[in-house]
Amino acid sequence: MNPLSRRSADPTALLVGAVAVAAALVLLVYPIGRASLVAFVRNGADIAFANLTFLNFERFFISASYQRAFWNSLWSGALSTALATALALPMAYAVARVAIPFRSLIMAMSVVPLISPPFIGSYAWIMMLGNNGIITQLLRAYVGIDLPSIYGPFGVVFALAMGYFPYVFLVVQGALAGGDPHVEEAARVMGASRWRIIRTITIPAVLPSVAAGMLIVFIKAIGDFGVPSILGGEFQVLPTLIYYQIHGFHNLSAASAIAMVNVALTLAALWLLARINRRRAHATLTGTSRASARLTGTGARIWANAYTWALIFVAVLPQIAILFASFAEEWPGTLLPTRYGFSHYFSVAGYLTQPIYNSLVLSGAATAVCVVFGAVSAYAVVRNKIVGRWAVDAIIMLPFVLPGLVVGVAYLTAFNDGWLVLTGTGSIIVLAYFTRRVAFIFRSASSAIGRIDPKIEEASTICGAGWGTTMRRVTAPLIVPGVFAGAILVFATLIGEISATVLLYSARWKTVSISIYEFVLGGELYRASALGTVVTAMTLVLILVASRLVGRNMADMFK
Amino acid sequence: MKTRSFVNSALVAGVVAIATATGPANAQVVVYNTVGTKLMQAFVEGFEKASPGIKVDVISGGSGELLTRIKAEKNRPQGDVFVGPDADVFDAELDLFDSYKSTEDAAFNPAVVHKDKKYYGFSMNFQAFIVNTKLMPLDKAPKSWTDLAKPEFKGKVLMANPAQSGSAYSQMHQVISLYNWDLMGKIVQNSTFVTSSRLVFQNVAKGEIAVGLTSEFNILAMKLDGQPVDGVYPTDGTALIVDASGIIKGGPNAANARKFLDFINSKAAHEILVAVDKRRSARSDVAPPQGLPAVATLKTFPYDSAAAASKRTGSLERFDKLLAAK
Repeated sequence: MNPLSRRSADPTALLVGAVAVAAALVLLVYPIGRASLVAFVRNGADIAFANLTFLNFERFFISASYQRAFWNSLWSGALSTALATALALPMAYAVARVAIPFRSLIMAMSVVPLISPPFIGSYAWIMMLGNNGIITQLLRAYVGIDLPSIYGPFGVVFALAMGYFPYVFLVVQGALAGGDPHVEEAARVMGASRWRIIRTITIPAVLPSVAAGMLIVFIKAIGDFGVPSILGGEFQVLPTLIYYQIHGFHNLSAASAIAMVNVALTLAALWLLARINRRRAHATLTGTSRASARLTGTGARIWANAYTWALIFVAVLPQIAILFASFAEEWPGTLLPTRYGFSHYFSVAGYLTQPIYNSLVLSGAATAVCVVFGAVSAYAVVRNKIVGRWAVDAIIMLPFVLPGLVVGVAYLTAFNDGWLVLTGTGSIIVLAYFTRRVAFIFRSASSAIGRIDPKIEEASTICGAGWGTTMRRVTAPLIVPGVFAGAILVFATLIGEISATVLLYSARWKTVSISIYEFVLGGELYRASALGTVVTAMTLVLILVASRLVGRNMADMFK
Repeated sequence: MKTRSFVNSALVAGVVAIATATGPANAQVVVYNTVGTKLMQAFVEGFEKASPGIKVDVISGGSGELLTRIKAEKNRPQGDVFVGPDADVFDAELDLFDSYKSTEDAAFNPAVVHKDKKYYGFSMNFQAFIVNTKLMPLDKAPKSWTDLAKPEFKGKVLMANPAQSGSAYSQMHQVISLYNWDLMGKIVQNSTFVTSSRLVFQNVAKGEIAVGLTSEFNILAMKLDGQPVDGVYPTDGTALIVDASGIIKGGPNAANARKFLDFINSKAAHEILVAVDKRRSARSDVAPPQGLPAVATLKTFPYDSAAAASKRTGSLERFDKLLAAK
């Protein structure tokens, strides 16, 4: 009997599979499907075939502002992805392949742009690089150069690239560090030049990782609302249109139609990614016993250090601005604050306990659900035990692509009344978070599982272990490192989630991101900065502690 | 294995979260709040002192975000009172709100109360120009709505996008009521539009741009913060924009909602409003904050919030065309 079919008949496997399918139907297909289908009916009409209309898409053909927003989204997304990649690749090579110190610190610092608190991050760019920003003034006074205006497309592309380049960096760094060193060494022994090795071996080997990182950046960039809304000025993109269709006109159908166009852009990017991956012909060897050799030449070490730290410095500029603001007692239109103190920190002390506890519990629970569901469904898809794997892939990717407020509205309308009522509970936030982030875990688990030879599992089965035991003792330990890296990113980025949270939170489950947003709403930027600084510091510490707990440092986690 | 214990504890936390998520206290009131934390905190403390035993749960957000919640929750409302959005937000969605004649009704001018008592005025604000005096001396600043269309102010004026900001919509509605779309078109050509009304006064205060259109209390707040700004009230007329509070229809705590609305309408609450937020109270018997000009010194005209609400979609489409044609 074929061991594969014997395993799929195992009752444990069937139960796990059934639970995963049920969860996907209730949590992903039902709310997201509803929210997607309203794009094809008039606003407020029932979802029924009789009401089918393409009216909501009409604006893309008749409205100049819609067309402009579409092209703006497309090219600013593409350009910021290109810029992010161009910035991230040298840094990934430097950290993975050159002997430079403080690699754990570099990894931790590189996560900072991803966890910067909502809204104040973009505002902080204005404080640094605006017409009257700190850096702008310093450059004008001491170097005599005028920076281009941060408002409009230039600022949007720049801020998006600086905000999301870590995704490319983390993924590619992991691939570079985890690749099999023997191939490159063999090439060197045979007399190939360093450049030739990079061109013919290193780059092809990491190309799928580069493409995966670029895809994340592109999805994030074309879905971002905060940056274009603060730096864009009149530069409208699809997410700003969605925001004002929902919160300005309460036209969910129009918003959903725009979101569908956003999804179409992403599908095009996914298709490109699949093409790149198909050309990937080289075998991935597993169980490499040692890391790649690192360059130790002085020249290489100087450029690697200089480049890495310069990029990190620019990337954390907003955080530095927030730090200044958090200590500013007085800042009356001068270059720097005129008086510093701790009063904003004291005044936010009361917000530190309950909201932070809530954020940790909600984000932690959501991350756990993501890990369990993401790993199980990735296993099912990769081992090809279910029909229609493309459908699973699409169902999991769709909510990742949809802007957060669309997911928020979808959850609110699906679970406020009817057969399953979740509003007012913490679980609705947990599940919405899960919906938005499970793609991360699914993707990292898929690649981790893909690297495991099925023969290892078959060996376990032949030795008499049941499916559950094989999973627990053999498969899970092998995929944990890959999944753990993804889980940390999920957890860290959920702490700052705002666009779905603002629609779903209840007084009992007010998160710290909402507390920060409340300060922003009240115009209290200094207190928002103080609370944001505390949260960023706390998240960083948690990441470092978590990576210690599993006995490896940050640098090795993204292999 | 440490990883597993980490995952396990996260799972346990999740289960606990889901299990303990519900179970609200018996006596409570849920407030959907658009005003700043300082002001709302003062209200909550005041109300809980005046009505012991009733706990106030505050859900904060932008007025658009909270209205989205109220609309999505229509079949099973979660909120009781909606505090602080522009009155035309209520006017546009009257079905979502309940009529209730507040015990404080007599203290309000009928002009700031909905005719069926669906909302009561909260604060009233004049729209004005905030000027960064470091970038532009006050005597060089625009004095009137028509000045905004003059070539010397091209690129120097910041407005919020009326489709994305209630106060910006009321500014545009004022220009159209006083003049016409022709002037609005010229202002669109001259000005820069951002997505949030907060960015307008914050960016002017930070010295990013010289002039902005904003509510008067933002100018006063920036001034008191030590920023180099001053306010100019348009000489061709400005209107009081009323923001309001009302009861959400079918909310979970109807009786407490009425108590809370009565408190928000009380003289004590409006004195807190003036002291904390430096806004003009909508009550007839509460004096405006120091630093805001007396109404008699300004040229004013009445603002019809019902008309503003009914014309909103058409006006915004027209604005969208003007902006796209720029």
